[in-house]
Amino acid sequence: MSERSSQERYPSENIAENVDSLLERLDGQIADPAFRDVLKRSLKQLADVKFALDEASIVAVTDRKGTIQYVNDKFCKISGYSREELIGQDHRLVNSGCHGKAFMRDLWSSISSGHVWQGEIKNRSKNGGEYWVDTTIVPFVDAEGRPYQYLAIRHEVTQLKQTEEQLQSMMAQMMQIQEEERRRFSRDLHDGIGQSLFSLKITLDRMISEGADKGLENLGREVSQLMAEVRGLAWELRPSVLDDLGIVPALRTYIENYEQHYGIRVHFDCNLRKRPNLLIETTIYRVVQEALTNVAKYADVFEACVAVRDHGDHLEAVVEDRGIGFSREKKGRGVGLFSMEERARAVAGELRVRSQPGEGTAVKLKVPIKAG
Amino acid sequence: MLSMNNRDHLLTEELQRLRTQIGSDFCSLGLLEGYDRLLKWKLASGNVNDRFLSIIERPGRGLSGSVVKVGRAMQLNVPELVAARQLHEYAVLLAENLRSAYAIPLFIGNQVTGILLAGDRKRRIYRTEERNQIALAGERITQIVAEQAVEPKSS
Repeated sequence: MSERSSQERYPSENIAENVDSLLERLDGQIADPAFRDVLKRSLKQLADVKFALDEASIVAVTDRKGTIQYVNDKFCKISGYSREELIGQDHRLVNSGCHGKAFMRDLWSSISSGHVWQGEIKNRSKNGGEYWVDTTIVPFVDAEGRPYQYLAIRHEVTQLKQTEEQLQSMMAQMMQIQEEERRRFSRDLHDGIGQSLFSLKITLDRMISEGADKGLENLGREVSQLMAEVRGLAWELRPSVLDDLGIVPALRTYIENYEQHYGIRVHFDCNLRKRPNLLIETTIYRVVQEALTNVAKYADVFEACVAVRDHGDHLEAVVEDRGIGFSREKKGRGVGLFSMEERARAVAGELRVRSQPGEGTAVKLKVPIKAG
Repeated sequence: MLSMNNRDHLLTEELQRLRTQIGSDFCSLGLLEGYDRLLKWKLASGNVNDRFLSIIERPGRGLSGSVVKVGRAMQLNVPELVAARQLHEYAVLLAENLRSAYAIPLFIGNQVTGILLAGDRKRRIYRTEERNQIALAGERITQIVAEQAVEPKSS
């Protein structure tokens, strides 16, 4: 049989497509009955596996250029195109355009060099709706190792993705509500109870100066302490200076208190010239707070460094120490770290923690800002 | 009249003696200072660094909120403080890496003037006789502090 005629007789190379016709003609072609049976069973199994695959997944086969050669019913259903509309078209037909050029280049360089690619892709259906698919692309390679065909197996994960997004936005909202509540409590403590105590103190002072009982002096002192406690509580909840004057004075005050409380010296370096928006300020404040608290708890050091820098298109906050450090497995997923990551995500930023046992820890927060 | 150095010397001796008596890793004296009565650690025995000297306890928090305010002795264990999310309020435990501590208030008259703290870098429960020894050391220390307090300041 010449190559040409074989191509004509079996025009498609798609998986198991010729199984039925091959099975019909096997009897006449192969004399050895045992061998024929094994072959028949193998072919049957191939067809069964293909059937199972089609039942379970969204399947497409393209040639090495990305031209669609085969799609199953599930592919047609989710994409909204008929089989006729898809076969022979470039696979980019369902491209949503939401993945960058670099992403696509990476995908193609991976599969064209014969490696399996796995990832999540957002596609667009005929009616414009978008859907997410968890995708595995398997290159079929020839004898020289060159891919001649790509099999793409997909599962829809749109709902999963949506839930993930919702979860993240809920998380961001929750943190914002928490901050709002803290702000309210802080103000109420300061302006409400704080003011009442202040006027009580003034009354006491007046009574003392008018020659009242000596015992009132102690009472006056206790009221002063109570005022200090209330102030401290309000400040711990959320320092009003953060809202009124911004991140830099807020951090300076925090660091001053921190140094006094823990006996750890903090070098503060900052080149911010204007205030970022309040959400970003809160994020930086809370991340620095969390990271410094970790320093006090775990690092075993006398000093630490905090730097907040404006890089034009993004802000960077770094908290560094030269303490005992940790390995990821040991403490890397502490609650504090998770909340710092969530906070960073809520302002489209990223958080990196670098630490090695004996070599200290660095927490770096990067937040994009609108340049200008 | 005792000079400051002499007083500190006597107090340090007391701290050292107590530490040997009960076999603790760390003993420290904290005093309430100024009109705001902020708790500062003045002297220690068995310290691994000098961080305790620059610690000022927050009013109403940590030991200021418990031992000072209530005027009663207290046993502290790090795991319990972690569970209560209060460990960060006890800066001296962090600075000295203590796992357990026993802190008593020092009274002059009916007012708390300071704290005597005994601590260990391993888990420890302070037994009754050890607690008594800490209390006795506390009385001796209070006496030294009180003598100084009634003397006019010499500078």
